[in-house]
Amino acid sequence: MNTIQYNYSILFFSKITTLLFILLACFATPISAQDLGLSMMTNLHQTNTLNPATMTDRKFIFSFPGVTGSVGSSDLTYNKLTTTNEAGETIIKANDLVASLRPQNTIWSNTSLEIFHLSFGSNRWQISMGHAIKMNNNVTIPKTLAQLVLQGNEQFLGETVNIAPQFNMTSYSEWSIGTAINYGRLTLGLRAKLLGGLSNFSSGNAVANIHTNDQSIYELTLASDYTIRSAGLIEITGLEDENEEIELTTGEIDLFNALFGENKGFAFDLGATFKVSDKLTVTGSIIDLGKITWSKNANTYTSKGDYEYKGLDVLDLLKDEDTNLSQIADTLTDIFKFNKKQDNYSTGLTVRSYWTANYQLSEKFTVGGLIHTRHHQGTFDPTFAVNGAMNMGRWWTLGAIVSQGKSTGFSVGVNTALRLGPVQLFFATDNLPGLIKPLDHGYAHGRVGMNLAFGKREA
Amino acid sequence: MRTLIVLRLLCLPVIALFIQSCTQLDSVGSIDDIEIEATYALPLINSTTSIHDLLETSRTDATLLTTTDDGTLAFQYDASGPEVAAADLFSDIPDFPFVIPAERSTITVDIFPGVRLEILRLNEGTMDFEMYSQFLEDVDVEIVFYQLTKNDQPLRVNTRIVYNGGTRTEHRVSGIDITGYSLALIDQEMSVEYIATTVITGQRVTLEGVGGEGRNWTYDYVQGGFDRNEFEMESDTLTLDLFDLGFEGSLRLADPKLDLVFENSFGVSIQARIKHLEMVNAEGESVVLSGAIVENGFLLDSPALNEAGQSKTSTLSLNKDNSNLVDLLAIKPQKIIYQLSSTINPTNRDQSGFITSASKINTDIHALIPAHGSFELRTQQETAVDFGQPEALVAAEFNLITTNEMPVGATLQFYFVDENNTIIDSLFTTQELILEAAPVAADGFPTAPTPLTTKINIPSDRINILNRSEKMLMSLYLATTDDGQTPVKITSEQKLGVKLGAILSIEE
Repeated sequence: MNTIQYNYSILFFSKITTLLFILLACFATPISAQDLGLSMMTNLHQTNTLNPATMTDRKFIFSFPGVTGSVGSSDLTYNKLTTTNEAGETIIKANDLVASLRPQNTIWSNTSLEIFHLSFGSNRWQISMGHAIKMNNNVTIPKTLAQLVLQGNEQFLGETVNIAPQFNMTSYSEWSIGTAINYGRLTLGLRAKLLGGLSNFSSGNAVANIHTNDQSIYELTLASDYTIRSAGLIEITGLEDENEEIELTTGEIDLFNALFGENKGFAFDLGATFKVSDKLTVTGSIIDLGKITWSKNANTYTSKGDYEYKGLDVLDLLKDEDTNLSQIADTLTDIFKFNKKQDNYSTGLTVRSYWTANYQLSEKFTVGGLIHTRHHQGTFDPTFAVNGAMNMGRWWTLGAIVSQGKSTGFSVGVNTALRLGPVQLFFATDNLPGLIKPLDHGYAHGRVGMNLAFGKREA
Repeated sequence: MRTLIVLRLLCLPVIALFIQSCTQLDSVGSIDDIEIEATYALPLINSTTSIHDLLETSRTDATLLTTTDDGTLAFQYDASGPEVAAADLFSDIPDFPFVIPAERSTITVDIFPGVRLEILRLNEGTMDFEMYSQFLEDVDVEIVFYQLTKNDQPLRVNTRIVYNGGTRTEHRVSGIDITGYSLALIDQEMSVEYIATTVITGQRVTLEGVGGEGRNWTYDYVQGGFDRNEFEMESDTLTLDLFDLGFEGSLRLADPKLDLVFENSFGVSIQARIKHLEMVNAEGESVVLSGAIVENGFLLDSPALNEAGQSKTSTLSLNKDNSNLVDLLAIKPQKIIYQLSSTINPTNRDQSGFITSASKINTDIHALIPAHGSFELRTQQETAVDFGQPEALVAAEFNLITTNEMPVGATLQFYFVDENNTIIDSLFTTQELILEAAPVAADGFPTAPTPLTTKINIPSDRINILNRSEKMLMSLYLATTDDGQTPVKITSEQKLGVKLGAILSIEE
């Protein structure tokens, strides 16, 4: 007697899902942070990193190593996604997960290790320099991919859907030198950044269309134009061979590489402040205008073509005594083959802009508004915020900020800075609930640091 | 001092906040499961297959002929049958002594039973001679066989009887090689002359006694008048696997043929006859061949006297007109058992014929079964099933689309059987038509492909029942056009298109 075995593993497109899991796993560690609150803390030198035209009230400032970290997602929170079943187990209901998704869902994380920052100048000018190691990661998952994998393709009968995820994981070393010059009410700033790319793992073209025929027997038509790139310390294996597991490995980093990187890049920051009146100041900046050219260990993997899967040939089934429908999965996996090519490529930084207005209500109270934008891989991510700050004497400043962002949603942040003689201590978060209850919020952000500041600059 | 106090007061709530945060993060790793409710639409099977391709996968012993005269597909079974050689029918030539009573004598040669010898061509053999002389001196002797020739020269044996001093001298000559000699007889007799001459006086004399013996003669060619002689060939069996699929029902093949092919190198008139031929099916049921061809026999073609060494091929064809062959095949036989007999010179005519030492009759049997006819056949077959992850599949809907160019339709039912061999459910409520036979013209060939779409819906409440099944019992009914009532023709080019898609609902 022949034995027929049914194997539902055919329902998972293994290459894509494996890749996706790798990407999501990478986000357990730390796009560029917004630093909304920081941008309003005009008494901190770190504000200069967001607008090179910003001059603080001290002529000489040295910043000790500090860290900024943020992680966010499009409304996705752990507690929204999980629930407890009758057995007391924590589970994810795939349908609830899909229902909570937007058409495009970005999960991002940023970490910036600011090794040092130094600025000095006179009343009219300022020179600043510094070094930081930055890690910016983001992955954008189309809702259609989650729908396809977790809910199946029956809902897409007769439709063509793109299931290609987009992602970018970049780490690089940044040396910067900038200047700010004051012309009365107007201050202009410019900063140049020498970038050393450490690692990159990113998508280029991102088309993976799948069409399910609703007129016949649900034949699948697949059209792919998908590019994956890796360079520097990251290497991916298994993409071009369907028999291999996909693995992401990282090489070891030495001090020189950590400081300068092996993949060169260049970027600019531009900024300006304008004191409209004694009480009203407006600022604007565009930062991270630049790119990194990846040449070290740079590989491009491309899957391009149109494929139609109509089903198995009945003769093949008759010839095989044991019929196993997982052959369908094998066939579908074969379709997403990648070709490897060693070639240099470039990736742009996430370009950010900050546009602020601050009004000093009294000696102690200041209020302001902010528009912040991020541009990357064709996405536009704006955030609007209002803030208030209170000077609790010369040594302590306390602030709060309320924001509504496309990718971060509604957020409430706080920030504070203490000045203890020449020592400045500060802490800022753009979403305090995200730090206190990270499982209930899809966005968490924090920055902490310490500066040494000398020599009061005259107003 | 005041600053430090403020610092501590500020740090405490911050630390408290983050302790709670860290406690929450601890539980992130404890997701136990993901509940999936998914519905996938997948193409499972999509192929267009010719009947020839399908049959090639069936591992039949038959040779598939892609065409007969009109393009109808045919199954041909071939086998070599029994063989009869000259040595099986005619005994060896015995040693034979002879006496030459006078100087010129005639010797009767009757050494080949059943054959009135005319010509005997020897492959090998010898002759011995014995002589007695009453003369008191040496005598030269020459014995001449005028009808035993080689290269048109008669056999001559010369010898000298050497006087031994007595009153009577005995003399022997042994081992005269006569390989390659031909013996031409008239009325089965040959003439012999001996000439004896005394050596001293030179007088021709008559000896007291002369004789001889032919020894170890084997023939290469025998010509003569053959007596009527009937002989039987060994019984043989041809296996047919065409009907081994376990189908029951009626089958009516329109134009089957069974050819018996004889290759004959005997130069005599031989009539072959099917002594017995029956077909036996898997159940032991058999039908015996009958008809005019059985009673009348069949005269084999033979080489003429000037065609010695050649073979002539004759074919005895059984068909629906000269036998009950259609009835034999209607029982869906698994084997053909047959025995042949033959008669040499069946009319006992006085006519010269020949055999050679290599003469023989070879037989081959060819059963040609064209896919032309009508049938309605059914079978039930059991298949073990293992659904793998039975708890995951909650519902299924299959969409089967067939496009049939063949004049054969099918209905199908699957019964699901539990471990107690109890039928617990069936796929359809009744036997479901899944393949509609193409209509045919008067000549039996299909006129147009027939499409058919079948929806098979298995809702969730039945999935649980099916998951308990350990076996599937397939009930398949096949019938030619008009439910097996119309004779049809199947060609190798006729195609069957099968498309099967599924919508599978999964919960896990």
